[in-house]
Amino acid sequence: MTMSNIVLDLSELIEEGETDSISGRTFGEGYAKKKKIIEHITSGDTITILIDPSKVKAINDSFWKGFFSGVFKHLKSKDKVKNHFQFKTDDFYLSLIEKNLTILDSIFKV
Amino acid sequence: MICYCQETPIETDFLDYLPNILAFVALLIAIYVVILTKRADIQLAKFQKLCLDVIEAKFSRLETLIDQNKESEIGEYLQIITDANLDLNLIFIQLKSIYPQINIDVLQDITQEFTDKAYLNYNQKFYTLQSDFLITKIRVQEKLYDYALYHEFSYISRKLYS
Repeated sequence: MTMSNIVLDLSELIEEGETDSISGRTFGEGYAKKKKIIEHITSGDTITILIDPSKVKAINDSFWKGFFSGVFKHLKSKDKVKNHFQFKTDDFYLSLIEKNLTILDSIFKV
Repeated sequence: MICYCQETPIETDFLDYLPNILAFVALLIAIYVVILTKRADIQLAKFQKLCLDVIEAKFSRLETLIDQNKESEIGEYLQIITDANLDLNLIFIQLKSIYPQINIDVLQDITQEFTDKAYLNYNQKFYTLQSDFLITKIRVQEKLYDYALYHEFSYISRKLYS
C-alpha cells in the first residue's frame, strides 16, 4: 500500500471578493467528504492542511467540528488524529486548531 | 374491701422517660438539619467558585473584546471572538469532570449559535454583536442556574424526603 501526503489549501474555500472567512458545520462535513478524508486516513495517508492567514481571515470552530467529526468517529482520539494531520499556518491558527481538537477529543473519546 | 389499682412498673418508667426521648430525637433532627444546611452552603460556594465565577470571567473577556472593537468591522476581529469562544468551551469540558450531570452539549450549542451568527453577519452594517452576546450570556447563565437549582441545591430536600 502506497502512503502519500495529501495537501489541502483552505484558501480554495475563500471566494474572492465574497468572503474571507470559513464557517459552518455542514460546510466542513461537505469539504471532508469532497476531499475523501476518511478514505485517505484508511489508506494510511497523511493530510497537510495549509492556511494562509493573509487570505483566510477567520475559521469558525463549527467548520472544524464538521470537518473532523467523521475523522474523530473513525480514529476516536486527538493523538491518533494528529498522526494523520499536519497544519502549516501561523501560531495563532495552530493554537485555535489545537483547542478545537481538544474539544472534539472530549466529545468523541471512548 | 378496698381495691387498689396500680400501674405496672414498666409503663411508669416509659412514660417518665418519654419527654427526654422526644427531646433527644428533636436534638438529633436539629443537628442533622444543621449539617445538611452547612453542606449545602459549601456546595453553593463550590459551585459559585468553580463554575459561575470562572464562566463569568470568560464572558467578561469576550465582552471586553467586543467592546474594544465595536468601531471596527466584525470581520476584523472574528478570529479573536472565535478564540474567546473556544476558551469558554474548554471551560465547559472541565466542568463536566466536576459536575458530570451538567449538559455541556446545550451550553456549547448556545455559544456556537453566537459565533455562527457573527460569521454570518460579519459584513452586515446594522448587525450588533453586543446584543447577541448578551442573549448568549443570559442563556448560558440560565442553564447553569437551572442545573444548580435542580441538581446541587436540592440536596437538602433529597436527603430529607428520601
